[in-house]
Amino acid sequence: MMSRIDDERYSFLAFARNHVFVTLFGIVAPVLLFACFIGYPIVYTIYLSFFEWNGMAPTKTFVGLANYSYMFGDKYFYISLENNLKWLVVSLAFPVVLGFLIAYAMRVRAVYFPTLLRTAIFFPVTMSLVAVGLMFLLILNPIFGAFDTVLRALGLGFLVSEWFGDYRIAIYTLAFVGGWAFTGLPMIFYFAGIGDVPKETFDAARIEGAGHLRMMLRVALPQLRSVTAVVVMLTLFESLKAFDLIAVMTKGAPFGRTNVLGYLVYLESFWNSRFGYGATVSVAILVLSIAIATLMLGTVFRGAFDV
Amino acid sequence: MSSVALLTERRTFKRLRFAAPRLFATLLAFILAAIWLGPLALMVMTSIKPNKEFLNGPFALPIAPTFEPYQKVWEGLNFGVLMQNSVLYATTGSALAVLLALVPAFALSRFEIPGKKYVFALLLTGLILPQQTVLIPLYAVLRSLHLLDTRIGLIIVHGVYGMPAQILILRGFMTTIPREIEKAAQIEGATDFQIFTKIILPLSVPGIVVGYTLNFIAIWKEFVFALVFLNSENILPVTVGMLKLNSDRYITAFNLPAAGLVISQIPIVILFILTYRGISSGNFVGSVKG
Amino acid sequence: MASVSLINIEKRYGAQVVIPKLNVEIADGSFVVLVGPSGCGKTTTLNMIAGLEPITAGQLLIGARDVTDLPPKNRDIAMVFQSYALFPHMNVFDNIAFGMKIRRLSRSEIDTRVRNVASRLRIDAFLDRRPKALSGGQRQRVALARAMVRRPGVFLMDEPLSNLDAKLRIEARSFLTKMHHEVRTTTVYVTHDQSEAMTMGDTIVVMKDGLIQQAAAPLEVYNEPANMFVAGFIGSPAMNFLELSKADTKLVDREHELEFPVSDRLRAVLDKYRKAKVVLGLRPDALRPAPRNAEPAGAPRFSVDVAQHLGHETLLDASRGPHRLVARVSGTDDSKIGETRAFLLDLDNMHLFDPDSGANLASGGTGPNAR
Repeated sequence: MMSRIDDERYSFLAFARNHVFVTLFGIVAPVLLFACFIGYPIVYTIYLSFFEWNGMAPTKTFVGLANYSYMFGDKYFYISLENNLKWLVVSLAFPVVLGFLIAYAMRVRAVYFPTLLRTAIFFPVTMSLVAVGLMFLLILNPIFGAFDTVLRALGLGFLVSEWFGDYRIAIYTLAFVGGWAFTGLPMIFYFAGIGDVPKETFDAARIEGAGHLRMMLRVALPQLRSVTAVVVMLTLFESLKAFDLIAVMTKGAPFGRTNVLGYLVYLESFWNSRFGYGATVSVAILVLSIAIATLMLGTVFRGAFDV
Repeated sequence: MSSVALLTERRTFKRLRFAAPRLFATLLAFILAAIWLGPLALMVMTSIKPNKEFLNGPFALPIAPTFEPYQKVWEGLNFGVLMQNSVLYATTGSALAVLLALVPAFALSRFEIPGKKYVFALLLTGLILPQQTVLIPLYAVLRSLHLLDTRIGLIIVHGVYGMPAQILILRGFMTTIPREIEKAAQIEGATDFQIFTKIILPLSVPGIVVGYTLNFIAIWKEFVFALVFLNSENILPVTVGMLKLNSDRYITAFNLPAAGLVISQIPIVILFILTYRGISSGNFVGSVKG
Repeated sequence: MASVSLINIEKRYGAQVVIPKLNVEIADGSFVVLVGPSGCGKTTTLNMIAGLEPITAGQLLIGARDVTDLPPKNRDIAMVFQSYALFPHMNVFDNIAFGMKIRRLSRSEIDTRVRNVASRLRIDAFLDRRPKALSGGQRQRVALARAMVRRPGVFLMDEPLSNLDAKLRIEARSFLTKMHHEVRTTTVYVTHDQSEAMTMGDTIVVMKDGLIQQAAAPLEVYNEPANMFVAGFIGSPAMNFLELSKADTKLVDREHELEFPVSDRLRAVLDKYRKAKVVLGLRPDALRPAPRNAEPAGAPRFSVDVAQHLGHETLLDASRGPHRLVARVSGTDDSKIGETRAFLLDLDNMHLFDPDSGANLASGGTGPNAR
């Protein structure tokens, strides 16, 4: 294309003159849509976080930083934040690590029926979390649930717990159910990624006498940095978005112990009609996700997205 | 090598040659199947048990299998309407997302645009933004446009929020189309618009299919937007309508909710079978990464 | 039909100067080959003529029209790409007809012209096939047909033969030359292959680092290279260079007992030359071993390191001290490896170069880096 990148006069306007169609429909239109449906909502959320508003009344009351100071003293905010972090840890440990191990096992044919299993593990990724939640409500039911029956049959009856009733484990139950539905995604990414790693590097390592552990850690993983970066980012945002399962399975019970930030926003805004405070928690989520993303891209995954 | 081969070649994955011991492989396959296939199989089995077999335990095989639970939830939840709505949202929302994404993907894949990286940063923001953070203002925007609790309102929201991912997927795909093909068209006298419609668009069909399918699944699964922006029974999608299954009226004998969630998954199963090769072999990963 | 003039053409990417100042005059109906090693600026030059890359400064005329800032479609050109760049989703007919459809020619006009050009290029049997169902040679001809069918003033070709295998390439070379003799369309042809340049062009433009080293007819470039770069680039195996000292009417390296006589023509050149060191250029064909029983006294002697027997000829890699050379000799030559042989010289086939600038002393040319 005629692009005068070599020219000092080259500017966006010069480009626009030469490429009217591309500029209009390829740049201006999407940027406008972004401004209306993504940019404006973000700005509005920040604006709203300085007000008190019940969502209906025509007037909003300016309260300055009151919502923020309330948030930092709000017990439920801290519980939710902690739950999001627990969720993130479980998601990184269970679906991501397991997804990698499964992908590796399938690549080295350490498992039978890899195609069937890959389909089975990926399938929950396509399920709505409402369906997944409902399903595990039945399976983890304290009286009629299949899971407890299996545990008892395996002689592990002492592990049987109130999966949703016990406030100490309820959030982990939810995170593991989420992990069950999420594992397929890291697995697919790693499966494709390992397929792109030059096979010769594995052969060479094997001839040098490396075992599977060494090959995973020293041969496969270092060559999968960009895949890991994508997967970890996806996991991160997935954990911060956690909402559906909670809405279906616990609604924050017991005693708000399974609240996460996303659900707190929904509760405060649409049930308690405290839109200002809901917006404040939204801002917290936003800051948190941008901060973590920037931190990770700047350190662990520096350069992983360079094309 | 001609570009044709590059575009149509299905990526074949190299298998690594060393196999693990037989016992280990069997055990691993069994465990994985139990964890991921087990719950699904259990639900299907539960869904065809009559009420009175409920007390036989979760693993008791159905003695007198029946489709009565299906009939009951289909009528009770008005599943016909829910399905229609979900299909409508998923097909049109994805179509809108892809349509909105096509020209931007073309622009970002083929041109050196000054300020391109800012457009990219904007895109990524749209991609990582937690839905909950924009719920309130979107609610307000939709209300002021009188689109709250309407089908068209939800479709627009899905279209716009599907666009960033579609731009990335399509852009990744379009960058694999050899530059020289486009230069040849340019030499032959084609304008940007003609290059787009006559060359890039027809060659991007596989990428569009992948993007559309992924978006379809995403909208089918979507819950938060529909929950907050819709209220009227007759326009709810399956995900929101299904919530009713989690009530004393339906959950007593397990077979009703089980039947409900099997039904809710049928369209995705069909889609999954149709596009299985494209999606679950991970071929789309390349286009997303690119 | 059109001539092409590049007047003070300059190309910069930011601060990096790719082509400092280029002046080329391409006559109407001629076949000009731009040749040089990769990175020499030949493809950039072609892309600037095509309008695929903007010209930083200078003026480009096609058929006396100033097209410097016009888009490709208004330049009256057609182009054949290295990868052919056929549209994979269209059949051969639509590929060839693409440009005419864009220009909204009538259906019947398009049809006749496509069939006409297809039969000339012997691809009329494949008009409804997709490119992927064609062989490399057929694809190449489709690309050529797409360029020819619009009857442009200028053909631009960017290494169009380098994706073909060796045998097809030789065929396609003479085919292209034949086509050019028939249609006589001005052609600018880019290649890195010096044998393609020699066999196809009316004029060869040898480039290095964005600068023209020499622009002349093929045989002139071969026989009177402007400098050491051109001398080394054109011809295979490459010309041998020996750095020697001027001694009266001879060139010598006393330390290694080498002595070369020069022809009368070159003696006159040497007389005017003031430096002590001079580079002697010898084509591999200018050397042949003297019969063992009749070695003339004072003939330069080299020991044979490698003998490459090609059947119809043999290439001898020989050396003496720091000097190394390749001689192209008869296939019946029986030199043994390690043997020292006296060589006879073709006095009319010798070149002298300035060791510092690389310029050919006889032609009064400039060195490769002069601006």
